[in-house]
Amino acid sequence: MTQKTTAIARGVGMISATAALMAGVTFASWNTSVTLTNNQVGVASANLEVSTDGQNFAKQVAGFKALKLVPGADFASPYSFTLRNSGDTDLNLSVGSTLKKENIPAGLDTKKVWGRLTAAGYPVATFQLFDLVDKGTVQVPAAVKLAKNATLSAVVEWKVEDSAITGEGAMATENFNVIFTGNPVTTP
Amino acid sequence: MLRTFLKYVAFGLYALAGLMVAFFNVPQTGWKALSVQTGSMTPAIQQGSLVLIHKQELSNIKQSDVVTFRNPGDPSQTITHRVIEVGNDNGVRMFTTKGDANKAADPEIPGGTVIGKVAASIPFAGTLVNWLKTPLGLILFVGLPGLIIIGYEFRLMLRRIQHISAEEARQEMQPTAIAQPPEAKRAAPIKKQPPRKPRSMDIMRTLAIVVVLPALAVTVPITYAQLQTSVAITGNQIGVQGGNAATFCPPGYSVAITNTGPRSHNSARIRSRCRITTTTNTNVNVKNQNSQSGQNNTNTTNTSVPAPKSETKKTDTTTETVVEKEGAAVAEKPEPNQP
Repeated sequence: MTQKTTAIARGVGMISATAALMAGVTFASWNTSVTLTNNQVGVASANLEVSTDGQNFAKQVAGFKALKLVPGADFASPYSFTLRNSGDTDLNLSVGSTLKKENIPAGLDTKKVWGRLTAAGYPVATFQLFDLVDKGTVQVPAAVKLAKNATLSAVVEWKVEDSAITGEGAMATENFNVIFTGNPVTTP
Repeated sequence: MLRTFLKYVAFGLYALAGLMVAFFNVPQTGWKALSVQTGSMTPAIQQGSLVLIHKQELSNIKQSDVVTFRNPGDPSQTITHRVIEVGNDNGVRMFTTKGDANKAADPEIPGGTVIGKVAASIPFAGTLVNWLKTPLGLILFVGLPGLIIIGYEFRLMLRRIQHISAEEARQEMQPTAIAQPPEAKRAAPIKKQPPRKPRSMDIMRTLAIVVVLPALAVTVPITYAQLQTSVAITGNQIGVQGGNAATFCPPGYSVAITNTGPRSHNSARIRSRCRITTTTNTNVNVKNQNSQSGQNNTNTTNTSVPAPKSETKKTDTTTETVVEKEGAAVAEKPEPNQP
């Protein structure tokens, strides 16, 4: 009887241990599994485009020239553009610029030059020109997500405080680019 | 012979997998294996590769190294990209990274978010690891082997019980064996070979199949060589009225602007002057003079000569033409009650 009990105990033990390991591994696997929505697609599948007329989309468009800003006046020189996600995955948007400190006129205080971004469906976001200088890519305010096949129309306007200019110098920035970057949204 | 060889090869592979599980999961080793989910590091690291990363001192991470770091926007996610610039922000080492296939750089990250430097990448291994985590992978590599082992163990247990019962019956029958009729002898269980005892190899194999391989898959986290797409709005300019030479001055002139103070209702009075500077080679005889300057009036020519220290010296003459357009350059905010 003792031998039988031992044999049964050994068998049940091995079976239980195996079953427990199977369950544990399966559970752990499910819990660590993360799916990227675009993990089955190639590089070309994420595609962000921009347009200034809402009709013709391209990878780059001619930008704004807000060169008649009146110091102390309200936001002016509206520039409208539309972003379109024509890829296969949802995108998180971030924005950067090529504006360098050395391209800023010496007498212009970039913390007193304000931009206002109005995007449909999102709160109005204001930012300083300073935010774009030498900062590389920064996250778009309000963490804009652009679903696949969706478009986002936005208007950017500029304002210069009356005390933004001191001394003497040229008061226009060199040409700079604004770059919108879309990173695929990951879903747990 | 071949069978034995294959058996040892298979066992060796399982043992290697086991060692890898242990090696990459002990933090003290400084090594980690990650499965690459996306393709922004192509061609250097293909989507579906397994990257082996090694923790490094930040000072050892240089431009063009491929590093894995925590996504500042989502710390639970890691990204594997190439360092394109190393900077310093108040003593904190900062890195700018970019996927090789991406057009735009990532936001700058502090050194503290860097997990390690990619030491090697194994193409397709990440895909295999990912596949092991799929339902089919789990069924084939966990469920099926597990059920086979359970079935085998169940069968082994029954055989042992049967064997023990037969042995007990035999022992009970032994003293009266001679008195037993031939039928009883036939009814007694036929003594077969006793079920072999489990050897250590069996246990290792069980562990390898049920634990090691799936554990390898489960414990290999994923990383993203994050796919990006970008667009550019080019040639942007921001300036105040009268502050841009191209729109305010004649061709070839530069503009200088002066804030001459408040004008009315929070608007500033801006004076712009267009200037053009030309350089011509002339011989000017200057004796113990510091400078010569002409008048500086609207629409006049202003000539200045740098101060020579020698009595007579061949020098350049700089001609500056100042064109003041004060009236056009005054920037004024309209009165609140005016249209």
